[in-house]
Amino acid sequence: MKKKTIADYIEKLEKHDDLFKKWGELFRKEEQIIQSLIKARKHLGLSQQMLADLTNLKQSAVARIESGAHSPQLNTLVKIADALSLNIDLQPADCPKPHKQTLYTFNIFNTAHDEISNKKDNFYTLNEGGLTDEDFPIKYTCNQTFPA
Amino acid sequence: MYDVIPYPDNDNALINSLLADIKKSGDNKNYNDFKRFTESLSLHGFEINTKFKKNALRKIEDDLYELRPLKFRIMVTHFQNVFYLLNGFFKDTNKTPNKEKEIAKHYIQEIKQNTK
Repeated sequence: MKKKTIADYIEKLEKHDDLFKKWGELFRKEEQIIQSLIKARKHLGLSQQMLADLTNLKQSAVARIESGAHSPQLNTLVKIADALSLNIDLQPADCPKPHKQTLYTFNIFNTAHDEISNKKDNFYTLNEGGLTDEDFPIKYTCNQTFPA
Repeated sequence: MYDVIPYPDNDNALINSLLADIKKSGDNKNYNDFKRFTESLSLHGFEINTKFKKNALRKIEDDLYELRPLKFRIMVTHFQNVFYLLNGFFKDTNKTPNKEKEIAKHYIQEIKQNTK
């Protein structure tokens, strides 16, 4: 018989209790942010130490944030995101199903889209091992605007 | 991956009362801690202190450990390669209350007898 692990316990808890379900969703949102940071750092070919140097943090602080052991302050989060060329965008949650649109077009050597190419070149020089479609962030567009 | 199992079983788990207290606290940070610490224990086992957070798991006595998020403690025992989660409680002093230790030791005996 398979033993019921803590993961099963938590799953059951969130299934039957509305508050824990809500908290579980919030937890997953936090995890998503952390995973995005890790992914972006790796795409740029940076080590934790290199990111720490860019942001004036210690490597151990970066490690703590990435492991979820420590929840960073807002200014730290913005600083890290900026160093990784990421924007922190807040969007209305009731946005209709996100329309996936790739931010970067695909031909790396096509200079028609200057801004895009520059960004791409940055990615490219930092990560010479070659890039695939998946290496480029996906931009979600939403037509809905915040109420004035 | 290590087995981390609430004792005695999911429906009657000793940590149920801790979860009720976490709910009462109204602070989802406590719930995040509960999830992160237990998940890290199943991921890293005894290496949790170096791979996740310093002093996350502390040895109290033979076979008796405590998992140490900021606001609460979970008594843990390790037996035959399985981590059992025993009683949990919100901390209000720096010293682990004897009462909680006794409860944990009682169930450790039970686990040892039942799994032989």
